[in-house]
Amino acid sequence: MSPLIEIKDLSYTYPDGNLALENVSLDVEEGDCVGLIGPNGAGKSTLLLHMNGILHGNNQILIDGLEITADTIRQIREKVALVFQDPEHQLFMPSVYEDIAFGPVNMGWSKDKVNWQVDLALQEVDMLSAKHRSSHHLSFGEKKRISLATVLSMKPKILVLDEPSSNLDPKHRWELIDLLKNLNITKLIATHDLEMVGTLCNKVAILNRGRLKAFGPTFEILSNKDLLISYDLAKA
Amino acid sequence: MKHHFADEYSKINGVLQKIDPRIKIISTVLFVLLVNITSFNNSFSLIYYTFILVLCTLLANVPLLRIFRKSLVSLPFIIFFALFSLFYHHRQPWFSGIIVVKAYLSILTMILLISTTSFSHFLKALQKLKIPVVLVMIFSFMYRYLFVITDELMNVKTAKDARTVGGSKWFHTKVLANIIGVVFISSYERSERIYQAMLSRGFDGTIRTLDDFSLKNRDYLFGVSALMIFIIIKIMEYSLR
Repeated sequence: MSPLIEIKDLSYTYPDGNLALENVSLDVEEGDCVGLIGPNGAGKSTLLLHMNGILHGNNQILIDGLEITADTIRQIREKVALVFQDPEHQLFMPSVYEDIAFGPVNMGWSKDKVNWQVDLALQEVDMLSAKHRSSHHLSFGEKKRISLATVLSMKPKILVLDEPSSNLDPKHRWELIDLLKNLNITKLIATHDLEMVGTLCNKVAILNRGRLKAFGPTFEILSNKDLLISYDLAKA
Repeated sequence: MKHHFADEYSKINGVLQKIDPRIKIISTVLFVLLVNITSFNNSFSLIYYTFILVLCTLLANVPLLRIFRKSLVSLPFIIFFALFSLFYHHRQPWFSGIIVVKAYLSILTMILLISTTSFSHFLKALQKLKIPVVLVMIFSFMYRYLFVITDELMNVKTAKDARTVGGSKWFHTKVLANIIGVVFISSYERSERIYQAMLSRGFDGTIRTLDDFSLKNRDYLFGVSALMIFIIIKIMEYSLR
């Protein structure tokens, strides 16, 4: 069986000449939870933006067997859900309901199906009571949950998360980790939160200066202190 | 940071809050239009319009003082135009007074509409009334991010205050100009990330919405009553001319 995400020798250079990714190759199997770790500026977020065709490197990515092209972009974006680090970027509609319905409406689903998926997504993140509230009335923890609901409503096959636990207090952080743990979906999580990676992920990839430096089972990577120290992920 | 939202009275129990936003928008536009076409020689109708506005505010359970306070920000502009009109064709001060009353009544009416309608319903109603979708989306983003950008501006200003002691007014003005520049650039970058978030969720340039407004008997009653009252006032105005 072919992997759900297949990245082959992906390279990407920003318009200002900054080489953000260089020959990155990575396979993610269905059901995997992969933690993408690395120091700031390693290229983690850039890699995530390639997952549903926001950025186009040398297009060496296959999602569920599909190459990312203009013809397949709609299918790709139905399959891959991207949650941005800052919920203020994710929540741009006047109400929580409209934000969660935004994706399903763009997919051209019927009104009944959209309403059903919105309720389901809100139940999954335990925020049904916030359905008709405005996003700017929510607390930061609530915004993070609703951000997740905005993509769960699209019933994706792959969940791509950029720093999901950043800026959360310990209580809300653990609530979010538990929530993600209970989501039976393939996940790719870029983070500095090694404790969360240890709890959620079965595989870990280390990125450094745009290159993939290590990829393997979580225990193997996180227990290799020398490896973590060499990429500034642990204190010497 | 605590913000006072424009639609803060939209969720309370009041007569106006229960009316379909489309009917409210049409009635409001009609009301503002009638107020502004009131003849300068027959301006007693403005008293009736004021009475209607006060009555609607009371029916909406919105504190009059709150509406008045919100309207204060518009007063300098209204007074400026009124003063300007003094030099126009050597009109009487009475003429400028009428301009102030008309403009002020219009502002109060719009504040009442916005206060008693949830902003998302207001936008959806505009779209149903065939206002261009791009314009509605601009209103939507403006309202959503106004508070975020205000917060950002205040945070940068606090960071600046924490590092400055004393200094001339000119120095602070120059730094404030820099701050506005920084916030502008970060807003621009934010807009790019929001666009990426929109693309991620299937946005392809076409704005799609789910419409679920339906007119009820009370909406028809409100609309017809408003229309009747407007016609009666206009007839009285013309008959007394």
